[in-house]
Amino acid sequence: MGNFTQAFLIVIGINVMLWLGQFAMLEVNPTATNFLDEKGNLFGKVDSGNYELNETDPYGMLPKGKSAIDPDTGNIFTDIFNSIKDWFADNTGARYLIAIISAPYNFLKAMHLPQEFVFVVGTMWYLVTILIGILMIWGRDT
Amino acid sequence: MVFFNESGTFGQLISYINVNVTGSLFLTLLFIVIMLIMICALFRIPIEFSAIFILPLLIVITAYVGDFLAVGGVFLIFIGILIAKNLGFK
Repeated sequence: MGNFTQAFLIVIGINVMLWLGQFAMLEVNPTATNFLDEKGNLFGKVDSGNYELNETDPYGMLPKGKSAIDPDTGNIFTDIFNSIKDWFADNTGARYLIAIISAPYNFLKAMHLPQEFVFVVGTMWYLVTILIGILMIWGRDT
Repeated sequence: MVFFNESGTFGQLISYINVNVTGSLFLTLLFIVIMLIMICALFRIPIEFSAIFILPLLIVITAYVGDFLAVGGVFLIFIGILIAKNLGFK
């Protein structure tokens, strides 16, 4: 199994345990600290509200293309560049995968750990995961 | 101290450690968690098996003592990584 898939599995596993832990704490004590919200983690992308999945449109998670450039506003050259960049990000699913880069940093921040510790661990994860992503794009993932 | 039975044996133990040793409920509970992990290390039990005892304890403690969120959260991250390792890859 490739390194990027392993990193993704680790982030999913951490997501699962933090969510379950939070539900358990809130059941034991309804006034407990609500430390995890849906921002900055992968579960927020599939939650259609009230912790339910969208069973009628599961394809909503697949990448979508960007709408047409508006020639009346903005610079035509930067609009073309942005459109190409967004097209790659959306149609190859890169925007979705990039979310795993920021996930551990958001977890550690949610738990109110010291800022310096969060920065150091988050940076380590960022650098390693971005390197793995680049290697994967170039076909060098081992 | 509303979340444990102070008249029981272990409840009295926690109360006495709190009053006479640490002076803080957070440090008392941290001490208990560290002791559990050390017992596993001493008896050569993998730390993963200590999760069976420590995880429910941490969930209840973190639910009532908000300061324990850092310790409980880090332990939950550790368990999440263990689950990913065992389910996904060797």
